[in-house]
Amino acid sequence: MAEINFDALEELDQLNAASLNTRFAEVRNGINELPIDSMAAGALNENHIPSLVVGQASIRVGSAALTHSYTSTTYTVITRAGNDLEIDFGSDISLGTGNGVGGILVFCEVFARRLRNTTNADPWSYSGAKAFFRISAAPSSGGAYAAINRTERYFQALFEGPAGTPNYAGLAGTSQRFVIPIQTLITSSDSSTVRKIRVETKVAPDPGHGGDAQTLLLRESYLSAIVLRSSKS
Amino acid sequence: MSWKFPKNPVLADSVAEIENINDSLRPFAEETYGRLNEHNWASITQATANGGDPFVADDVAEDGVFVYHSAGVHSSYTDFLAGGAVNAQDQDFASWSNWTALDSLTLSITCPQTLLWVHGSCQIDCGSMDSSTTPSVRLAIRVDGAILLDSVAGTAECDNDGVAGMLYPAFPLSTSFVVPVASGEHKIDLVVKTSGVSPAAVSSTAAYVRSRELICLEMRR
Repeated sequence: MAEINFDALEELDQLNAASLNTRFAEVRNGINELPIDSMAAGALNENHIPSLVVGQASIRVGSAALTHSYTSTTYTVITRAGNDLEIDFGSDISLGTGNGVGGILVFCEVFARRLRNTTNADPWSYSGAKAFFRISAAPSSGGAYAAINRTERYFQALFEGPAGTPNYAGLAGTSQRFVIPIQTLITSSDSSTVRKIRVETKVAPDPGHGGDAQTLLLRESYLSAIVLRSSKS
Repeated sequence: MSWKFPKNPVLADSVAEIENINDSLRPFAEETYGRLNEHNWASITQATANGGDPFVADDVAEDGVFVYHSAGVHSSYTDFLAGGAVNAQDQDFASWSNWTALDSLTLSITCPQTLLWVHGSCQIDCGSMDSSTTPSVRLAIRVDGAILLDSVAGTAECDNDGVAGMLYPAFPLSTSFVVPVASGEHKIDLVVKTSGVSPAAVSSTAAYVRSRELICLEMRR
């Protein structure tokens, strides 16, 4: 905490420009050295500095009724009816405190209805198949997407009948119905600029059943991005 | 903190008295001993309209207002069911573990009195297809050693009876929380706890936490 020792004028002290300047300087220097702790919560509001949020965007693809399927074993963008689960910020966003943007906070939710063994009508009870999801970002309009690797998430779901009965007929046609959440903060350490972000998916075969191909069926999927301001613009 | 007006403003053609000078300066110095609030900073609208110099974002030191912290770990996917290796980044949890912090995610920060908006997420993989040995997993946010109970996500289900229905040996978890903190140093981390299938037996299957991320936004404004 900066310390301001105001040296009060006493009787017989000289009252002149120099003595006043000394005291003004004490106050000025103390104020200039105030640490951030000097501010009460809420001291800086919309009348002083702009919002935390530079901008935001969100998109929804698919719905409860409008499903879309994936069979690729390499990552591909989630899309339905020509609409990618992708946000284009409209211009390249430079990340870093010197550029006015501290980071991009990204939230994603994908509603998976079913991961099904394509060979069999219903999932195996003991299935090692998985469906994968991740966030990728492109630095510019025509730039290549690069995966934010730490966002890779996947699920494996299997059915089991009473007392561990495999392939229980009563579960035929059952869907897994699983929501995959992804959160990430994209910073300058990921990319110096970001123009677009998107969500990608792929499936992996079940190694326990001869590598049967899989079909992933998705319902609605959401992607939201909040561009966060940095202290310096 | 209050606004301060000079008790004895120095006026043209008036005689400057020592006590008046003290009374005019000392209150402003004393103001800075307390918590400065919105009245102590020139606002954009009022200062500009009155020909003054408003307080703007550039008047704040670097990372003085909008401060973010994050840490992430990437574990390149390997299929445990196909004999894939456990990566160095994977964190192993035996069944019936205590609450344990996830490696390489702890955030140690120093901040003023503020709100923290915390987001945590991770990938769980039990590497199993057997519900009789696969543990349940919970994820939570911990601030200064205290687990925020309302942030607990996942499941603690365990049962001696056969389980029929959907089972998830591999799945992602995420949680978020807004928590007020006092001025000073704080430690934020993500913690995980597992439960076995039966209280009487330790499940043989471990749970691995793979790629993960922890985000903490200081909501100072």
